[in-house]
Amino acid sequence: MDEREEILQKIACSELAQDLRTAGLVGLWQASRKEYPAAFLSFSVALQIKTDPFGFFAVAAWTAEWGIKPLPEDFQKKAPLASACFWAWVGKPAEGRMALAQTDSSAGEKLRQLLDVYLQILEAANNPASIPPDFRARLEAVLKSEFGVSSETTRRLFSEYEGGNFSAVAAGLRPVLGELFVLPPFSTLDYLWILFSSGIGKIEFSSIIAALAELEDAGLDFARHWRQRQQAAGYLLLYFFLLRAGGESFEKALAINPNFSRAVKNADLVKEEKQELALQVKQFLLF
Amino acid sequence: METCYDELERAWVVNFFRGGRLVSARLYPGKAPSGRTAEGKRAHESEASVLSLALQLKQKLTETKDPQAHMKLGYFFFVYQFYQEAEEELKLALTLFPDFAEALYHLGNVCHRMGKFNQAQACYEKACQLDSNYADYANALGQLFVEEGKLVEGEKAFLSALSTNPNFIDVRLNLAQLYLDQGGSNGNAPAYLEKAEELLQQSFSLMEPEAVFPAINANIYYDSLCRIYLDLKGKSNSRVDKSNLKAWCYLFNLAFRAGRELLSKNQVERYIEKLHLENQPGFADLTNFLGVAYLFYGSFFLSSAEEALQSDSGQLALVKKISAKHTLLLKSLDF
Repeated sequence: MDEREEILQKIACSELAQDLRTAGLVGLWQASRKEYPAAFLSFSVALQIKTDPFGFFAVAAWTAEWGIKPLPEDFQKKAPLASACFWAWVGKPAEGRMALAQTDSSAGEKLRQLLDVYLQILEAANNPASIPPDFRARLEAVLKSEFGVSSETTRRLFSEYEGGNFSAVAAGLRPVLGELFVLPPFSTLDYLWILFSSGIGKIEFSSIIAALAELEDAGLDFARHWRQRQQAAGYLLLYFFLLRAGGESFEKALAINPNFSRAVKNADLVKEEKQELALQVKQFLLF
Repeated sequence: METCYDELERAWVVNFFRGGRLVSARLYPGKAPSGRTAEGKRAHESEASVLSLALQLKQKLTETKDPQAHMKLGYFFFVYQFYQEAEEELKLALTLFPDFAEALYHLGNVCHRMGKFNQAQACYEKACQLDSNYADYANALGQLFVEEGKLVEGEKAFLSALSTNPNFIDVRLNLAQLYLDQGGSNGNAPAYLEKAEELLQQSFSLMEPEAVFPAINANIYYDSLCRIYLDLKGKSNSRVDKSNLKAWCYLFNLAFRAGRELLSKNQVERYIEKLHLENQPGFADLTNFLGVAYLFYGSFFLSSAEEALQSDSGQLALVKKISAKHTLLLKSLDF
């Protein structure tokens, strides 16, 4: 086990893993090691800070370990939208509808519309008469939004719907749902951010630069949004490192000449501001 | 334990000798300089870019009511021998704050170099009156008097400088030179030469406290003293002269304060690299300048974070908040 793994192991077993901001990242690390039950628990802790996307990450970890086994009830209460997606994914429209009814109507509007349509299509596959009169317009809106106004896929799925082939429409929409359950890779930046937020270990300037370069080299298949947050996190770490280096420079100047009034003033200013700046930087969310 | 400062110091210095850049080389591989052969070109470009920066700052500071800023820019122009610009900036500083001793001293230096001896003398004398804690002012006045042949006034000024700072070697050597000149022109008058010898001995013990003072040949007393004087003067001149670097530091710090648009990230990296290389002995003022430079350098990364988050309004607002707080911190720093 290398040093990085050892540190992460220690953090995962300590109270630090209960820190809401650290828990989500620890969950990603556990998932990358295929420790799905542990990852599910970590993501469930992170839910308290932000259900989206940690709810979906938790479902991904759950299905990776237990397949279609129903999600724990308390989890369903905490993350109804992710739970609704889970039920839709495992083909249980009734349960999905119940979960969807518990979601906050202000959150994930686009996703709620997709789910609504997907669950209706699943029901229609078993009972075509269940389709309400306004459904056609809702389906059209979702297809156009997901695949483009006049794309081949939109036209094909709409044609399948008109032909009454609801299973084909559900199969066409399924990959969109599947994208929600893709876990991002555990990156070096995630690791450095855990060190930063937990205050454990030492972050080197060169490690941050290397982590950013690693991001440049990473494949383009993952979400742009993820990459942007990761880059921003890397830049914030570089910033904070320089803030510390600046403060240390002033302290060093004072060690050379304790009466150097400019260094006294600058050292005090950085000391005063650093704490609050650190708290603000820690508010940044990688997901 | 190695601190952030230590790690960066090691990285900058090592990278310089490899002919690479710390951040640019890793993040922007295509833009890194190609190696040692690029160093000459780099140095030339640095000089050109720093002068261009000074002229931009001059333009930007026109309306500024900060005498310190004008004084520091004036000092930069003086060191780089742009005497007219230096004179303008220093006079602006003095318009804003007529009793600004340091600005008067630098203006005296500028006038001295431009051959305006009367004005230089007036500036030095007023600087001495306003602030008697700085031996440099009286020393400069003494040198001016000596140059004009006013030896009595010169001696008086040097003695005044020595009373302010007895460890100021340059003043002792200047005074020794004055006595040697007087002794030489008066038929090797012993009264002057003995005073010169005493000053040379004191200077020697200040410069090399452990060493033995060179032997003096009594038969060629005057010549012996002159040889010792020249030797000590040479050693004194070879000590680290930070005026050029100090001018750079003033300029960059003025630019930091004026806002990020005046400097590129690459210019700041070069500046930090230069500071690290020049600061090997560990000077308090340079180390303080380095601290300010690191904090300014950090603001580039906050901008990069903002750029990365252009389509992420929630997190962008947080980074903007951090940037605003950091900008305030930068403006409060003292250089």
